Amino acid sequence: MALGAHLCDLDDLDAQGITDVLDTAESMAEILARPIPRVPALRGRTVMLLFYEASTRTRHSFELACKALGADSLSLAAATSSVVKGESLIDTVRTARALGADAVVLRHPASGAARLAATLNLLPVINAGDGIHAHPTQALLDVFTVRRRFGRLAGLQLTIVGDILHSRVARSSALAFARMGVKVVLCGPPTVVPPEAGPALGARVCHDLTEALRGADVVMALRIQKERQDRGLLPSAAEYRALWGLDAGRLAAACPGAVLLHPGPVNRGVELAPELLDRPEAAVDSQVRAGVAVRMAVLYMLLEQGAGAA
Amino acid sequence: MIALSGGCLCDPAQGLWGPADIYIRAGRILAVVPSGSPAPDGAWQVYDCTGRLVVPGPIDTLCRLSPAAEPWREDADTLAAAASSAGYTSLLVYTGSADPDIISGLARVRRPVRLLPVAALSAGDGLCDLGRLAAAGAVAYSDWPEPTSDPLRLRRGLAYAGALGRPVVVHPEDASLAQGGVMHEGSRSFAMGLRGVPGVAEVVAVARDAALQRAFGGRLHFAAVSAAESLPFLGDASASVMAHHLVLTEAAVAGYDTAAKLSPPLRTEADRAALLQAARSGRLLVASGHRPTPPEEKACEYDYAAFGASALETALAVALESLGPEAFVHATSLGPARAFGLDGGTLPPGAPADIAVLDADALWTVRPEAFLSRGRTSPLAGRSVRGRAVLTIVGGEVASGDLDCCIKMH
Repeated sequence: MALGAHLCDLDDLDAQGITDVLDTAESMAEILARPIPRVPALRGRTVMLLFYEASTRTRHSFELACKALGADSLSLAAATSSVVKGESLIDTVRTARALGADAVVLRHPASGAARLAATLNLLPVINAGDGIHAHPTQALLDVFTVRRRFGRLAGLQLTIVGDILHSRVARSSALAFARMGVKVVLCGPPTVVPPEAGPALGARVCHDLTEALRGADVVMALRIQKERQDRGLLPSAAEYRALWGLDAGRLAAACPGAVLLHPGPVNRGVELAPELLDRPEAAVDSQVRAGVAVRMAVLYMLLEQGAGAA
Repeated sequence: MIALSGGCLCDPAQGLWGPADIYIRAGRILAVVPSGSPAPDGAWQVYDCTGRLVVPGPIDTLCRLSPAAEPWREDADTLAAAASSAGYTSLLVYTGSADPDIISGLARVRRPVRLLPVAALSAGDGLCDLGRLAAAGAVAYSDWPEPTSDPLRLRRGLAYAGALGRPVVVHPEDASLAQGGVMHEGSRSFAMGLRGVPGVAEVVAVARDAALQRAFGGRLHFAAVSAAESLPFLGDASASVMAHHLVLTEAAVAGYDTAAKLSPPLRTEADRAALLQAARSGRLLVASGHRPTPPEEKACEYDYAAFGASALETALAVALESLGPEAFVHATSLGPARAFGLDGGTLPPGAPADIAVLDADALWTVRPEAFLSRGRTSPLAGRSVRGRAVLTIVGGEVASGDLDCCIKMH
């Protein structure tokens, strides 16, 4: 379906919906390239940024998107609000609406939290990351970045390397790319890339890095978290680097000039050899820039064109 | 003195299946005769059950009654009213309590259903006072909904409870493999980003506990199984399946529906089909698994929501529609009576007159907001189910029922 009342996960977007967002994001990128990167498209609107989990880049990206569109943004971080006193998510969303918010951007540690907020149907909900489930604006900015590089999507191959199990970025990006005709390969330790990941995300699972990289036009590395090591899912950083760490030699298995994505923040020297980030194939900075344009597009479409603005 | 006339009696233990008249005196069955036979002498208050299904009183093998006293919570009265209206005549209520006074208080309840208290099995590292609890009226012991994780404790519990002639009921789940999961583990849990409980977490617990029972004796009942692969490992133990698991799969969790957050979790279509087959064949009993929760513990993020659903008022309808009358009686009455060593499950002369009269064709829509139970969440909400109790008789007296529907005075 085209983008409707909410953006909770990739269920809210079919291929046409993704294309619409990307096309709108191109216009937004033009605005951002101007000397004064501002338009009054959402003047008078208020966007509540409701963050139950720490985030800097995603929150700042949404704040910049609001600013560029002339909307006011109001940040409610869990630590400084009644959230710590145990107000329920449902009540908090109601409060946001009562305070005059026109949309909520939600980051939350529980999978499905955005869907819960959206079922209230009080105002458009944009998921900025829920648990390990979805991060749709990150997926859209990844697709946007790749479409810009290649001028097309269908027929490309994306290989995602890392802890797929705990990555909302991997889930949303795999689904978004697959929906656009990209072949997706998932690679990493078997403990965090289980067989069911394949059917769940419309992708192929392959635990051997060299084989997984073969034919890849796009390679996405995921951040490896120390906490997973503590839970016995990953033996050690050295072990990970030896088997699944990306460096120039390993990347040679991919297509020449393959684009390198990373949702950040990067653990230099674990999932990526430091020198890779300085190569022209690394698109990490483009991803960050694309993030603002894509989020402008989503906000604009939901608030200005959205069928569901309550 | 009451009589149930003209109903279709299904009493497989006696080989009875057809129109019959049942005469009840002093709380017990006086006679069961082919319909239309002359009545025994006496003044009978006759209930016309023509067109109805008459079955030995259903016994629920799995039903939570929390001792906590918050006003919203299910108490013995609301629980019993809900159960009786649905056709149950006895409930095994899992209290988690090791207090003989609480157990004896519950055991005294005989209207509108008989409450059969299940006491706690273990406290800390040791066993509860199982003998004192038996004397107070406990019919079994269980730590449900917690798994009994320590095999040595289960060994001791089986031996001790076995000597008292009472079963131990376990929730078969290996906590390490379950790792705090909130739904069935598979591609759906992966896509939803929810931690899964693999079927094998149940299978290894079933296999282990059945092996302990074989080795050390005692009587073992599995509170509820959910995985097809558990079935070959049940051994000599009896086992129940929750009625929800006969008609629902993990698909019910779609959209993060907290009403479908159950323990054990709803699993795949293959699991559902295998469980249904095992219930039809008599290998599994069908329990409600009633575990009411306050609304705010369900109106929240799926991860944070409480496990369980309000099930007493839907389970019998689901079981009857899924199994047909004969297997239904096995799974909800005769089987539970045998597994727990209780009176009931059949209606020979002299037996306690615990009987349900059902309208097997009544089609109705599940509306949790209208439940008599204080638990108001059901994964069946909005669904149509077939089968409804019209009269529940406990100890020869009408415990609940729609009297207009079948009363006829002679």
